[in-house]
Amino acid sequence: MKRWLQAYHARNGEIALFFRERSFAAVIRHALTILFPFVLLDVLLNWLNAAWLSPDGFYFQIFHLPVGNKIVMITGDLLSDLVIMLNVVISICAAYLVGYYYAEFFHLDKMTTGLASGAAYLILNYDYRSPDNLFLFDNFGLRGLFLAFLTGIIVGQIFRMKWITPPAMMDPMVTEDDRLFRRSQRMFLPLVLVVTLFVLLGWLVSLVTVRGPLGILNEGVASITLGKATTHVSAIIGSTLVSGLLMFIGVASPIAQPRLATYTTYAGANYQFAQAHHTSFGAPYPITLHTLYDIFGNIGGIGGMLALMIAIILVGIVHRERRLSMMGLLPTLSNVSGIGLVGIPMIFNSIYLLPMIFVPVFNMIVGAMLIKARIVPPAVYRIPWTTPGILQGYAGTGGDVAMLVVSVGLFIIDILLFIPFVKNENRLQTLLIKREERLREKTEARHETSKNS
Amino acid sequence: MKQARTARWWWLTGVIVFLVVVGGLTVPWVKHTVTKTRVIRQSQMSPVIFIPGSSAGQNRFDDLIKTINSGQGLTPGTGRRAGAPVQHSVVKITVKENDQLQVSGQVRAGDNAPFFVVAFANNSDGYPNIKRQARWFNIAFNYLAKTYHFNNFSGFGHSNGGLVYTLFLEDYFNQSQYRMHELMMLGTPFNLEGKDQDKRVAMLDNMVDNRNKLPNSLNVYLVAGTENYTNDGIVPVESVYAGKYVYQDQVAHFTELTVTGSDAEHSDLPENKQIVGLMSQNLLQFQNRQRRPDSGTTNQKKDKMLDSDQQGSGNSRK
Repeated sequence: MKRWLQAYHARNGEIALFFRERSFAAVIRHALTILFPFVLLDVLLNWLNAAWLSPDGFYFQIFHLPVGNKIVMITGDLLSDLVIMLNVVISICAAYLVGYYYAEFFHLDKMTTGLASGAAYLILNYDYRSPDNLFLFDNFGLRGLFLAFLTGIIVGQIFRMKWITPPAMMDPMVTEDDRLFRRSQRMFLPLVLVVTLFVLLGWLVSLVTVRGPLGILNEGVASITLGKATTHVSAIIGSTLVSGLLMFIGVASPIAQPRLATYTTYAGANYQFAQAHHTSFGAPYPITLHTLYDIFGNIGGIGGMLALMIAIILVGIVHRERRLSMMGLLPTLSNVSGIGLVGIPMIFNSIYLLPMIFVPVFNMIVGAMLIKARIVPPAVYRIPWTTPGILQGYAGTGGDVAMLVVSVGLFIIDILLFIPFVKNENRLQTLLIKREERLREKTEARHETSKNS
Repeated sequence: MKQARTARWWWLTGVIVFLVVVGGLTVPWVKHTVTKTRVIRQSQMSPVIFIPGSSAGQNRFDDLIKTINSGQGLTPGTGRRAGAPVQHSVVKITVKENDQLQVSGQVRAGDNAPFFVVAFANNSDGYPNIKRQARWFNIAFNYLAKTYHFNNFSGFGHSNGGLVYTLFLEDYFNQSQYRMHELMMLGTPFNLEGKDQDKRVAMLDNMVDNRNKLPNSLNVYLVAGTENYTNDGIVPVESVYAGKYVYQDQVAHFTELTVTGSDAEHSDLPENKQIVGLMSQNLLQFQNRQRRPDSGTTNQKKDKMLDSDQQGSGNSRK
């Protein structure tokens, strides 16, 4: 077993290195790094608003903040407005940055490609059905990252096409202004193509769904994975696996938003049962997406991210990841997971792919067994989605102590499961540092020789 | 390195202290708030329950339901999902004289707006019999609510079906458990065959006496058909409009409508194109109108969410 794991870690390290050197992965990694400050601000404000200032927030409720207080309400409204604006900024910037770095990678005009990508993202998410010139604000923000990557890369591809971008003409007899003008002139044709293509795409999508391109993706995934069989353990685990994979490529999955799953016919029936019998043991639907995924799958945070962050704080040596974990701990505790996704980054980081997918599944399998064995009751009460994963089970079952013990136990196991992977990341980091040092030495040596000669 | 390590432990200690405080506050919160909030949450399923009139059986509304499912008569852009009309599954129940239920049909998985038709084996006219039908309807209603786990619905009653609904709402309906959104009644003779509103029959008197038991959140549409200026061939218009003495100023909204033209004859009313249109506007659209539970989409302001979260409707902006 141990040898097998070692072999896996070595292989995984190779894969991660291989990924690092692919053009698209490098482009996305660079873009995410630059984007991070915006994401941090967005996540923190979102967390403040959702967990502290909204009446449905966990901290709002446990600290008994005044309901209907003008100041709290106005601050909350302002914050949610700000978060929407930041979401728009993040999406456009993500598309811009991906386009920019893609152009840099292939020696194209960076600025124009980037701008065209940002514009393309906006065009794609225009609400073609609305009479009031609106954008589909639901498609902006972290959930739109994958779409932004895709937009940037498609635009980059268009600008890369030789036949559409005429070659630069070098004429030394002109001024700086003329050169700039000529440079932007060259970009006119590809720009026309980009705009036409994305208007067409957006319009075609709007014929099918009101929710835009992400709507197609989310609705499709939701109907495939959730369908109707939400009381089968295997179906729920299947959708969790899909959700983990989606997070890996930067798509906010439909089930990773715990609040969506809470309100179903099953939940209603369970709740009524608990109200009538004053216990949730024997509720009509013990296994649902809510009782398994929200309560058990999320114990270590969405995709086990909270457990990963603590594992990084405990044993990680990568300075950047440790700082991010410390900053992101509290929002991640409240299921606002952007910092981990973008900062660590979980997106396109194959080192953490395996535990990120299987830690929630492990928790859920344990949970399903415990519920079926009637050791813990299913969670039936309505709880705020910002409730920390460890406490969700306790609160959702109306204060079942066994549930709390199970949650804490599973959380510790989750951290332990992540530790070997963090150590693997450490090894990779040392390797990269060594490599960079060697490169620097080489260049310095070359400098020395050129100076000497 | 050492400094980094101490910072790390300080941080972890801080987090653990925070968690303990939060955990400590969670215990009383769970005990007093989470388990005690008796919010009646609306089930996602919100059926429409049909009651036919006297002398009609459970198949009375087949043509009407066929028309609705085929999308005819719907105003463009309503009741449609991505172009195709919403298919409502149908469950029919006939309540026998001995309180037994005879159930046929089933609800398709994922159908949140099924149609239930409740008919009575004994479908004769007459106040004593209508009272019995209200009791039978209550049995069927409880069966449906238990079987399909819904706590909110809308109603449609043709002719005496509207009387059965009124008696059910006054005598049996439990407002703390269920919520009725809309009630549409077609050609319902509140004053039976009487044309003169001053001469109220005993049934109407009793209904008016008990009107304060009607749910005050209900929206009521009372539709009368007219072949000529006085009746729809069977029921006098005045008898239909006597319903205002029962519902007006008691429920949230009460609307009286008169339909004329072809298919305005009493028995043709359920197939009348205009009435199908009224139904799709009033009965079938409430699911889109009502606010869905907070799905927590962070990108939208609350009232905006209303629009984008309705998967059911093609063009939902109003």
